[in-house]
Amino acid sequence: MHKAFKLKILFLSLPVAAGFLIFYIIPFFRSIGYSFLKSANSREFVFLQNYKEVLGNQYFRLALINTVIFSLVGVSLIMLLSILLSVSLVKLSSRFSFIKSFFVMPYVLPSASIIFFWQVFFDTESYSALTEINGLGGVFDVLPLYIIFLWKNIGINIILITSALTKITPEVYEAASLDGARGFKLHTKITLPLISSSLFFVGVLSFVNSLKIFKESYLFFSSNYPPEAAYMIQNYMNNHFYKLNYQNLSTAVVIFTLSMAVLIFIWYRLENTLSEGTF
Amino acid sequence: MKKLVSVLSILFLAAIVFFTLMGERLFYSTKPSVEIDRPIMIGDRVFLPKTAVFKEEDGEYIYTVTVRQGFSAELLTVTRVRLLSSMEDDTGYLGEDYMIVEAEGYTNSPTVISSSRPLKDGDMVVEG
Amino acid sequence: MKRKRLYYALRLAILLALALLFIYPVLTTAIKSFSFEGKPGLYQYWELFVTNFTYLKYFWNSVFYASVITAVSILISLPLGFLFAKLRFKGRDSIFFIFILVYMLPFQATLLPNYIQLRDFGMLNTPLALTLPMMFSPFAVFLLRQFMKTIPDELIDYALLETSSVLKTFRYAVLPQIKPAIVSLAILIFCESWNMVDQALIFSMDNNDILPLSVILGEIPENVRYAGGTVYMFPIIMLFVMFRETLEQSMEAYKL
Repeated sequence: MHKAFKLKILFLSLPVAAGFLIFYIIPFFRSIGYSFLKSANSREFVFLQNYKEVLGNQYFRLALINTVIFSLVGVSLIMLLSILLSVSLVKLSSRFSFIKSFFVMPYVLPSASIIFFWQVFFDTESYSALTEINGLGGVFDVLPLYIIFLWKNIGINIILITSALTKITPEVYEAASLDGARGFKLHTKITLPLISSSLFFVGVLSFVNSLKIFKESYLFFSSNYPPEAAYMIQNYMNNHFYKLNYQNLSTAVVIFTLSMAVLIFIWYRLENTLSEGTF
Repeated sequence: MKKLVSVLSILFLAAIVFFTLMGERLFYSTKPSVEIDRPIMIGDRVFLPKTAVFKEEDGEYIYTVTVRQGFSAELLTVTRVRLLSSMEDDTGYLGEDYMIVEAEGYTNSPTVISSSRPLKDGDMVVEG
Repeated sequence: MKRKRLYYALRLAILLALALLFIYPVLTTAIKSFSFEGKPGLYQYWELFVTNFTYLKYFWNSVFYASVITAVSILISLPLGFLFAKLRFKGRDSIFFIFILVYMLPFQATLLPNYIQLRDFGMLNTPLALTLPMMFSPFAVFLLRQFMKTIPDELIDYALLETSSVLKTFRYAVLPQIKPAIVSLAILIFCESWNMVDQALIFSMDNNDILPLSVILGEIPENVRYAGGTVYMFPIIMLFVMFRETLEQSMEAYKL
């Protein structure tokens, strides 16, 4: 590949690279700068005071806890269900492979279209009564979000897991059954380790998708102030956007991005070592 | 299956384009256009232009207008109000184009002064 | 043998039932759109398109944004995807990691940088705000790199023997190999842009006229919401049905 070709490619890549720099990278560093200022207009350097304020803010804490809970519970549930469904689906003959598509459809559908259905679905008297019960920590307030999250995102997981499952050659199963493995044991000891790198990726993808629930949350509750149990980091940030509270917002974004970066970096490393381990 | 999708898509597109071009026009042209004004109160008598009184089979009626802000435009709905009495203007204040009317609870609501088409209770109208 | 058949049939029945349950919301929304105040028929659509005639304005807004974002982002991301896939240079993987990082961040983290820049360019509350940042999203670069990695190096070297023109190489060696993948990518980006909510809320806070349907749909009167929702998801469903297999095959390339 000659130099001229490489240079041309590089040149053609400039628009998207420049755009990426201009709209994502550079302003991100500027917002880090904002997080150290007192307010958007003054240039008063207040160091970590903003960070102390944000981390001490009860709403930020509430949002953080809610987001973490939602992600953990949501990802666990969706992983379980995705694996179960994938294992079932993969055993069907290819004639029925269209069934998979029914599960995938919610993933591409625009949220606004079907959110009305879900609003009506959860708007019954009996359900409102359930949400009134104290002491449950608002479980029923958030439940619609869990249901919608599962419904929307199981599809992509199923596609990824079934494709990994089909790559396991039948010989492996034959060898395992010769050794006496069957049913549940077969699955946990043989299948799962073989698709572990895919499962890991699906886990991360589900985690990223769990943070996108804001879209549905905003549309479902029709407001930026959902019930307490459903108030998440994204709501917190959106509200500060409306107040044009740049310094608070920048601080929250920096905290958030740093945490995510650490998590993603750990995942990146883990994923590399895992995929080296399997064949 | 592919054929069905193509046919449906073309029909869909045709409908969408049609209504994009004609939607607003249809909104206005399918409704009677009316002139709206408030009645004139002199003393305790209510005056309305003669054209505002509609003589129908079972009596005389006027139509009051309620305005509601819709998604795309103002929605005007008429309510049929029975007149208890009406007489020609004999006070000479406003002249022979006006009548003195009486109706239950009616003093100051926006009213249809004239309409391009006969009205019914609950009709939607447009001003103009 | 019979037992196995029974289990198979049972599994099939359960899966079918679940599948139907999954599209139940879609079916309900569509079916309910064909009745209006108790009468079956297309009345709700009339009410939607005539009484609420601005609905279509927002519909075309969505069409505009989704089309522009899809076309432009794929076009400009092709070279960079190729660069990450086929060219070797120092720091390539680290830079690519940054792309992955930004791609995986939720909207709220990238919204602020986007917003600051849009504000400084004076683009807020204009259609530019609702297209420009999304065009430079790393999603297209990411997937294109995945797809292009599967192209055998020899093919490219062979094409380079014939010509040093980038355009020709792409046209004859690269693009034909990944055509179905590009179609799927286009559909995925289209669906995601069609569903744009977070950005529209923030970048066009003060200008309602240019908003896409995704955020306005919640504000149309209740009696036309089913029809409004059906019209809004119709293009997506058509795309999905037409390109179902291609889509699913390419979704498998999501992996790193």
